Amino acid sequence: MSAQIFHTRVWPLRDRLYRLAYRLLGERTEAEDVVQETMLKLWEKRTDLIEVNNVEAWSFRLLRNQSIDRYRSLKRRTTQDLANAPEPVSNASNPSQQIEQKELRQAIDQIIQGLPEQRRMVLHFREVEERSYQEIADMLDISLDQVRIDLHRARKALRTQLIKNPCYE
Amino acid sequence: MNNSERDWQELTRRYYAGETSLEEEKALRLHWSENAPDSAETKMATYFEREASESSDIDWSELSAKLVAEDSSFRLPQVGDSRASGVGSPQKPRNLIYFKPRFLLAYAAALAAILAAVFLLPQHTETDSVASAEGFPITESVDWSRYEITDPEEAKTILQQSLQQVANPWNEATRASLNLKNIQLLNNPFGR
Repeated sequence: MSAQIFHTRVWPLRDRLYRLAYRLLGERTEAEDVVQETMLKLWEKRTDLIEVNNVEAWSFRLLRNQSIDRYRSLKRRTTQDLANAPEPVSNASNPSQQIEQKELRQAIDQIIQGLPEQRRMVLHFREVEERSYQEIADMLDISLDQVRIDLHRARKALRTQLIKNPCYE
Repeated sequence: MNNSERDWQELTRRYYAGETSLEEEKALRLHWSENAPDSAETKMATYFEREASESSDIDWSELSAKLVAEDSSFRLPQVGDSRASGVGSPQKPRNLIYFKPRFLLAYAAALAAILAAVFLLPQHTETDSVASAEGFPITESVDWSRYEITDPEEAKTILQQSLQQVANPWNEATRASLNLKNIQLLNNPFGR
């Protein structure tokens, strides 16, 4: 039963866990390692999954804690390795457009990495995962008002940076 | 500036205030891409859209091998396995049941309101509810989480009002009973 819960409800989350880990750590290999550690932990704790109301929120919380531990042990903030990241799939038709899109993507990545952790997570859950305000509040164990405040500040900061810095234009 | 532009501006303002629903945000993204392709908003929207749709390109077989090594009961989901088909299609989390004190009052108030509605309001037929759902499709786009009661004081007030509403007919009945008794006493003062 517990293994079945893992297979049906935790294993399908792996790509999404990876995206969040990348958002938190800013480095692909580190994010991959953290997802592996989290998955192993979740597998070890699979008997507890029966008792858990919201397996998804629980998995995201565990990943967040693992990411924070990893981040502390590294004692550095990484955004440099983005240049070594795999080439994203691009819809741009010509090479110059592709370069522009890559640069813009890296720029937005860097701006988001500069946000405080909670703000980054709120923005990720809303914009990438398309979660309701209540779901975000549940996952991060914060109030609805706090979700709105963090979202407001994150969006404003992103917009301000994009407008202010001409190289993002 | 026409009304439509004003509406979009208002919606954009609400987007930045964190007050828009997911449907409104989708509409906004479409509006920005069509009307302001070089704006910061369009760039943000394009970026997030790609983040959401892109797969991680990670070979998960290494992880599954580790899990198999941990315990032989782990198996990789098979192709066509309906239980594994959740990959790429995010599951919506179930609603959490809270037992925090600040939520207890809110749930009690909601329960009292439901009971009051069941006992006091006239029963709707199935046809009525279908008709009303069709008549007000806008309710589907409302973000009801905005109206959730989180303030204990507000919950307490609602609970008091609901209980008062339930109690009113009972008090009425008690009053009527007393009046009837008084009339009987007037008609027959010596109890004969």
